[in-house]
Amino acid sequence: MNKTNPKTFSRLMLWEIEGCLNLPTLLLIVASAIVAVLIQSSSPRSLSNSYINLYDGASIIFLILTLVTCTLFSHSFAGSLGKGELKRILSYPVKRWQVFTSKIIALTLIVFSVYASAFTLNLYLSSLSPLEPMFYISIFTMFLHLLLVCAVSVGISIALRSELMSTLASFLLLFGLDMAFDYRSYLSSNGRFTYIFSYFQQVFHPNFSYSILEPPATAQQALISIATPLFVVAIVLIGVFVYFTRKMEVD
Amino acid sequence: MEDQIIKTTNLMKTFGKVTALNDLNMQAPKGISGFIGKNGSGKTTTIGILLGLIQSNGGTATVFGLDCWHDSFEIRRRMGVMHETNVYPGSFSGQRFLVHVAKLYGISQINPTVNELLKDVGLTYAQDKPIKTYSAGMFKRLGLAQALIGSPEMAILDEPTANIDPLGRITLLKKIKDMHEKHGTNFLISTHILSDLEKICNWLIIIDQGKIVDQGYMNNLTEKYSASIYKIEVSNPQVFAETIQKLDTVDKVWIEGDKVFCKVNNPEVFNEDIPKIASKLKLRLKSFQQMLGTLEEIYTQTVGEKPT
Ligand SMILES: Nc1ncnc2c1ncn2[C@@H]1O[C@H](COP(=O)(O)OP(=O)(O)OP(=O)(O)O)[C@@H](O)[C@H]1O
Ligand SMILES: [Mg+2]
Repeated sequence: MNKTNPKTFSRLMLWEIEGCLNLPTLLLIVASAIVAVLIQSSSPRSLSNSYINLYDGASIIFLILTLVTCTLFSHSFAGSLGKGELKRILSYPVKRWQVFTSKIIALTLIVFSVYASAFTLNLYLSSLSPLEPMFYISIFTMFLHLLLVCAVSVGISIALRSELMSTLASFLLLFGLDMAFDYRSYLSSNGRFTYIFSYFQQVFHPNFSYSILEPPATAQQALISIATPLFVVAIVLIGVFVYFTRKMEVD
Repeated sequence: MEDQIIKTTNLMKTFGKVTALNDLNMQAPKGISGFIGKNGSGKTTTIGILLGLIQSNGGTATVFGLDCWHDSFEIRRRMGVMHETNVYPGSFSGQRFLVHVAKLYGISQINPTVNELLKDVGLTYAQDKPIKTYSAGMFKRLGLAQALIGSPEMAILDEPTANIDPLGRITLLKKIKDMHEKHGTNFLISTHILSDLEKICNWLIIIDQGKIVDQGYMNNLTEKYSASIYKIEVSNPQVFAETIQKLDTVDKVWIEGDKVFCKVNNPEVFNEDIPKIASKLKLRLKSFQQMLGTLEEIYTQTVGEKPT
């Protein structure tokens, strides 16, 4: 009796994606991604034919990615809560967990695929082989950062219920962390990227003359850099998920 | 016994210090039920609880005999809703939006259903236009369509006629009535526009400050309240009103225009008193009649204020 329609989940997801594709939003995401990559590749230290270009100026990509992701998730969560759109959707025969997860997966997929595609421009700009392992390490770190921003902005969205406030608050929080902590801290996106990049640099390019970090990062440092955001993401998303599905009042 | 589709007992809801619902005992049987009350009386809050969007602080609420918070999914499967605020995805066309909603209800014949609904609510001409270009009346009609899409057993409409011109209101209400007759859909319609309900409701729920003041079948209520209200035209309403105010048979007196209204508790005695009083005060009694109960009078008596 309490069965959900098995296709409801995918329909909600397609709906969310279609909502994004309809607006000028998609154009904005794509443009922001391309701009981010172009700024990055014109960094002054740019070496030709070097994977090091992937590291240089990555903070710009992270910054713009943070801004876009905060805006998008705040719009989708706080925006639809504040405007009453969520109220309408939750009045249809859908389960709350379906609405929550479909929103997160759909938006993450969109942002990630756009940014990953734009990032492949780097292969061309720096004349790298498509098999360059550091390219995939960079994309992975980007994905990790995306998840973190997603969790933070969803959490703040549900707490503040105002699109503008939540965009600002989550962006300022993440941007503030990046500003307050430098490239040798697990708390800044740049710091985590540096550790991960530096560790894998030794693994894949042990004989390369230039190392981004002296001494190079250890496996443990790389691991903590990966685990920290994942841990925060898990805690925040599980907490918000439980609240959203069991307690949250929509009015 | 399972005649009541909606039933709440001692339902409580507070928002911080504000008590929105205070021991609400509400019932709605099959048919078209009107849910009336002033701004802030708790209508939208009640609807939120019925849909499992808001959790109550006490008491019980059931729809189709199912608990509104725990079985809300099953309830929503059998119910359609149109909320007070209409937020629809602006970039979608009306048709495309309804197709999306139809899919959520797992309807098999999607296109015929959507097209028929669009025709029923009179939106076919605009079905391909983006929703953001719709007017307020079109929004409401789209809202009605999306509430009715799953052929629900019951549709809840929160202020369906707000913001609509008189002609549009009549058309919309007629649509609701048609739907009830054609598909047997039951309705709960919240509003503070009384004349709307008079035409279509068979059950009435009056809410004030989070409490039910009265509820029942329309004809019973009109009978109950009409018998005790009088409309009197005299040459000097002020003096007359002041005098009858002192009578034991009179509970309440008010003046509208140049007519005196009063609520009495013993019509037989009052009927005989009126001409006597008028002649004693040397006033000319122009007319004197028991009111036929209209919704407005019921409302005035229960909520104690002129309706908006
Ligand atoms: N989220 C909320 N937070 C605080 N108070 C609320 C909230 N929602 C409703 N209230 C209060 O609860 C009371 C009932 O509000 P409700 O919206 O249910 O009234 P209503 O009958 O629908 O009024 P209207 O005719 O204006 O739509 C009001 O006093 C309102 O201020
Ligand atoms: Mg309301």
